[in-house]
Amino acid sequence: MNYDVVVIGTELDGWVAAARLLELGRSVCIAAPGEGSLHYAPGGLHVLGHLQGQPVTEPYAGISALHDHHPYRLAGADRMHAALSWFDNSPLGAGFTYRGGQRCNSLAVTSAGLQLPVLSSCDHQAGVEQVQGNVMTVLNFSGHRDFPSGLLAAEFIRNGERVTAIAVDPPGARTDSVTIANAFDTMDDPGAWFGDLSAVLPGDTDVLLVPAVLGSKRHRDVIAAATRALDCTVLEVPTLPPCLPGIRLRNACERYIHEQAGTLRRGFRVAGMDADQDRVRSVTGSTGQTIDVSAVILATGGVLMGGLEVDSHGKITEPAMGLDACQTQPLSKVGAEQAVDALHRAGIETDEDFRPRHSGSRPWQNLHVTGRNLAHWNPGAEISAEGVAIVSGWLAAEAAHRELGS
Amino acid sequence: MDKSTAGPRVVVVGGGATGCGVARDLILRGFDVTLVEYGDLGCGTSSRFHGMLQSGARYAVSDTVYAGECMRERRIINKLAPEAVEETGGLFVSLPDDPADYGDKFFAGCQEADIPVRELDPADVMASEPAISRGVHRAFAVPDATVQPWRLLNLVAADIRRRGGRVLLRHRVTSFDMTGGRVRAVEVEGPSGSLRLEADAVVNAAGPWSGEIARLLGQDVALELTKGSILVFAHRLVTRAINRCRMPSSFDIMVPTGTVSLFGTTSEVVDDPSTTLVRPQEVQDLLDAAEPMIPGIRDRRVLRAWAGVRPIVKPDNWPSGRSLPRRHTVIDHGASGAFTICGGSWTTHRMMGEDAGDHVASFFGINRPSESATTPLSPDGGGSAWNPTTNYQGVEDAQTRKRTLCECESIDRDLVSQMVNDEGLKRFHDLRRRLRIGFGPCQGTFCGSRLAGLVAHLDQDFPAQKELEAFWAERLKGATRTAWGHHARQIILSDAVFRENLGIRLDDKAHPAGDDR
Repeated sequence: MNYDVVVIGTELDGWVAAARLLELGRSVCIAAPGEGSLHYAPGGLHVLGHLQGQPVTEPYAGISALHDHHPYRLAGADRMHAALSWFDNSPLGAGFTYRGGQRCNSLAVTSAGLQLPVLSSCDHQAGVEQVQGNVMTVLNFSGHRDFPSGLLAAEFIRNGERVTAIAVDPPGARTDSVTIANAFDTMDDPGAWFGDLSAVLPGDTDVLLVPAVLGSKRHRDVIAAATRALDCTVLEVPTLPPCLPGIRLRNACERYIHEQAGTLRRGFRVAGMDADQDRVRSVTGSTGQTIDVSAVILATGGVLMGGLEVDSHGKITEPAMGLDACQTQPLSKVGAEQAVDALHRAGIETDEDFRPRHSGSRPWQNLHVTGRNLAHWNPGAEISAEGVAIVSGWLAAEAAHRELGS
Repeated sequence: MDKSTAGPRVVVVGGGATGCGVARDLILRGFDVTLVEYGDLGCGTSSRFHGMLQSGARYAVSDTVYAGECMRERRIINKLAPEAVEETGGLFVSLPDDPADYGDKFFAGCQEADIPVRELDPADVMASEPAISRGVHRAFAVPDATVQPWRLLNLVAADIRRRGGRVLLRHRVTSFDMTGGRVRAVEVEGPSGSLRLEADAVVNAAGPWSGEIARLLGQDVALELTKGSILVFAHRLVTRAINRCRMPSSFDIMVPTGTVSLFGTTSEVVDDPSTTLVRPQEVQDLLDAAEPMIPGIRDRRVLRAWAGVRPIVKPDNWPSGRSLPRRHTVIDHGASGAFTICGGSWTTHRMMGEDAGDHVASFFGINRPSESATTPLSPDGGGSAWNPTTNYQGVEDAQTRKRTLCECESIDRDLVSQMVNDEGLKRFHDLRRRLRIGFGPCQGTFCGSRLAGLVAHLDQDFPAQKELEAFWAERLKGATRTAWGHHARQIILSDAVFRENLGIRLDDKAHPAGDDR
């Protein structure tokens, strides 16, 4: 088998790279052992939310404070903006309907009643601006574990908001997020279901906050039907994983890859590669199958998804291609925060085209590394997971396309 | 108990195994007892050990008399509180680098100490314990068991309260009134201010903090504090407690307890009784030492590491270098009515209580023997034996599976609501110690916010969000000691859930002592 580019991994950075390359007319195979981590993602495009523990208003302006080799510093503000704008206008972003174009963060509401800076988000995701000062009702489904609505309501009350918490039985027999979403997807008449809900909804409700489980495919229709039936604004708040907003994004990505005749090979775990000096020729799976390639994008998800491995001596390795991982701080830091930070910041160092070093200062010619595999960033402290994934995935695709020539 | 007919007033300082043992012994002898604990029950040394209820076989050669006492006490505790004991059984295995002649001495020592011991065919042992070394050349079965420390201490505390005693948690002793050279009162400070506890006697049972309490009494108690660190492995890697067949020392024991296995321990002398930090080198030492017993141990998933500080009274003129005696010591501080009890072990805590009770009774000239070995702990005579499936069985029986709050430990919402409503317990670490929420592989990643949601729902004034933040920070503190393999992935996932999903900011600020175990 022969492809222009093999994307290894089903992380957001891998989907973005594959989508961009297909759009540019390249043949692409995505090879991954499983589902990737998008079902952990609470939705929203988090680009740069916190710096040194403080909320960030303008993410593009904030990047100068980051490490010299932070993925955003490698990209630069202009290329960052190009990548994020592409995403907003792409079928992947369209599936999500990001508001797009902003240069300032807004604040999303979390299920813990806290706020997360987000550059853009779905129009039905609850934001502070939309809820503040309104009469709110927080809905939970009885038995649904993954939405701490008590915490959400208590935090609003503490902040002086008017809020009531109600609980109703979920549609269907089971109470997990995915099954509830499936029940909404397959419901004959969502409007009627929400019509029944209006009997228990406080009459003065301006905004109904619901766990983000109103479907994985038809959620836009379901939310529209709910809005009509209840005559109030209906906004979703992300649940604990599995998160439907992330699953919806994953579905949009997969749909697009299929539409563009990309190949998706699940169950393929890369165990090694064959290289001719500084060029990768083929990758080999754990069952011995080989895929010949002209370029490779390694989007294997860092420590979270096994793209980087940590051994009991605290040494970090990259198992698929055998790349050197950069570790500037020992993992055995005294404070927990520092230990997690060291774990995040370890990873692969690359040049501005996201190519790792081959020998001396020379990079690999046709190998790119993206997302959580990259060194010198911390998605938890920065609130930057989607931003780094999109920027590095898109720029890796651009670079691979350029190298392949016409 | 009718207060007007109550005996002399005794304040017991320290709510660990020792203090609870002493307080129960005294209340059964008719004393008017108040137990004062700085944190929660058993949040110091009493929960920072390998979890074993010893058959005594460990000391069969080094101290045969003590070994016999352990066996006797182990039987008593199992009878008093079967719901806090799991009859795992114990194995002593001889590995190639263990002394060849120890097995025979061990067998003879067990017989002398009246510990039921049986030599097993090493091939059978290796077949039934697939994780252990294939180099076992002798193996002995003894009736070791494990104890759920918080479960037992809460049973004891409930019994003390039922009999009219007081148990003051989160109260710190600030001073003693010793006017006229006699104990008059104990001044304590708690969440709602200062209290003066009138007292005729005081028993200092503060474990590694006994030296500090003794100083407040104007006394000098020389303690040797030894820190022991333990690694917590996910799952039960062995079915029985596995000991090396050699003189008891460090690094020689793997114990299956709850849903995890503990390997320990290190041993190093420390100055600060509150030291619970596990150094990176200790983690490496533990892994290296466990390898001969459990080959491939570095590939097993470790959930966290924690440490406890053992206090042992150093006898006068004790030769340096010789290991200190395991047995406890009761110090009578003259005619003042103050006593210090220190040392000993979980297994012998009831006997320690009896010994302290004898001293206090004789101080007041009261001739009433201890009843703590024979009086049932619960009015209904004790529950049924605990095992790791007990929680899950409860969930199944009640058909509450869809209301599960903590999957790792099978804890459902109703159980938590009951604790919050009936006992007024809302602090997450207190709930964790009683229900085991957050002990499993996810280390609070998923159950943490569910717990916060439930507690906030039950009491909107409780600062559940701050509590959640503190809960996570403490879980992370132990977990980041062992950030490798799949557990490193778990830590990153946990970070993603707390920070990228819930929006909580990590903060390394200080949290109350004792919550990191």
